[in-house]
Amino acid sequence: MAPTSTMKDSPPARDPASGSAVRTDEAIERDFELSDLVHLEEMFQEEGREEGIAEGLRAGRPEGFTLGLEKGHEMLTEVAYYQSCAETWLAHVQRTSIASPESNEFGDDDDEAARPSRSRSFPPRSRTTLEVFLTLTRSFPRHNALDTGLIELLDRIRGRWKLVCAVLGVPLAAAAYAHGAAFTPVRSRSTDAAVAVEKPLSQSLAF
Amino acid sequence: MDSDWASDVNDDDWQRQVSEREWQRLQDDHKKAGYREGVIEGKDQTMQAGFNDGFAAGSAIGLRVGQLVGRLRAQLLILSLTPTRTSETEADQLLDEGNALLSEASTVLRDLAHVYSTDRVRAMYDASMAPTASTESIVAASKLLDPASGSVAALRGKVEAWLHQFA
Repeated sequence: MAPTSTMKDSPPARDPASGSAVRTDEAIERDFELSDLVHLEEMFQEEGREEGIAEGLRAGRPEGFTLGLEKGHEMLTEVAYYQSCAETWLAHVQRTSIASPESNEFGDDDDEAARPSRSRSFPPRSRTTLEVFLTLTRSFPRHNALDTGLIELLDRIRGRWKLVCAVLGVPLAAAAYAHGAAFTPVRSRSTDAAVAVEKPLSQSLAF
Repeated sequence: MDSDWASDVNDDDWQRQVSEREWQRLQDDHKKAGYREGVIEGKDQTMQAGFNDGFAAGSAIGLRVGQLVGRLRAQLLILSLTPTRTSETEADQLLDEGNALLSEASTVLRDLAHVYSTDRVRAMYDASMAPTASTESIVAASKLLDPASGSVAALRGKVEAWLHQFA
């Protein structure tokens, strides 16, 4: 250590009678002060560290709880949103398929005739797409499973959600969750939103 | 002589004061450095357990809110984008009611986020913590949030009633 090497640099004083080396009071005092100081620094640091560990142990759990609460709530709200949308649409597809077995169109033929501009069909792939998507959302853990890669899984779900919307012909802007989009008012079917859904699938994909 | 004596005393006092200050500074500096290290070390040991408890509690409520919003919005989009047997006027009224519920859901979510960040939730969780019982702690933590989730239950009733019209 630097202080020790500094001490060695000064030549030792010699006893005039015996000729043997003696250490001056000053050197002894300095040696004592420096070595003791190093020890004291460590002692104070250790003392502070012990206090810090006790405080950290106490504060860590509630701090982690608050973070986990926010994160768990945020992630599961989004996943449950996608899942429930998909479940609702799948139920609708199944219901309308039973109502008109020859096609899986929304509404009945009378309505189609009465409002031809609103004619709208889910493509044949809708049911399978929704079912595959639901398998994915249901695999999302409800607890913090570090080994499953929650963030990556949520990213996959978001990506697949775009595909679901494209296949079903639902405008992504109307069905998105991010940035509060899920809470924006849904416009009347007589407005542009209703027209947007009638775009061909190829156009719907361009978001 | 008097002045020399006084000067010696003052010098001694001054030196002692300087020494005491230095001693205190040495002590404070190293204690603080050690404390900072210790806090991080301590938190590392308990933070993950708290996070896991919080995640489970938060996800349970998030799941309920997300389901409500998802079902509500999906039905609104069906209503908006597809032909139904309802008239334009009826459809518009249903949309207005549904949109009002969406707005309410947004407020519930904002309020929940506010509750989560309060010291009260943290302090209650802290106080209810058994040293080792993790399952119990999750149950305890979920119970803490019951008052906050009361608003979710109220919203659920309204959304169910609205959705019932399409059943």
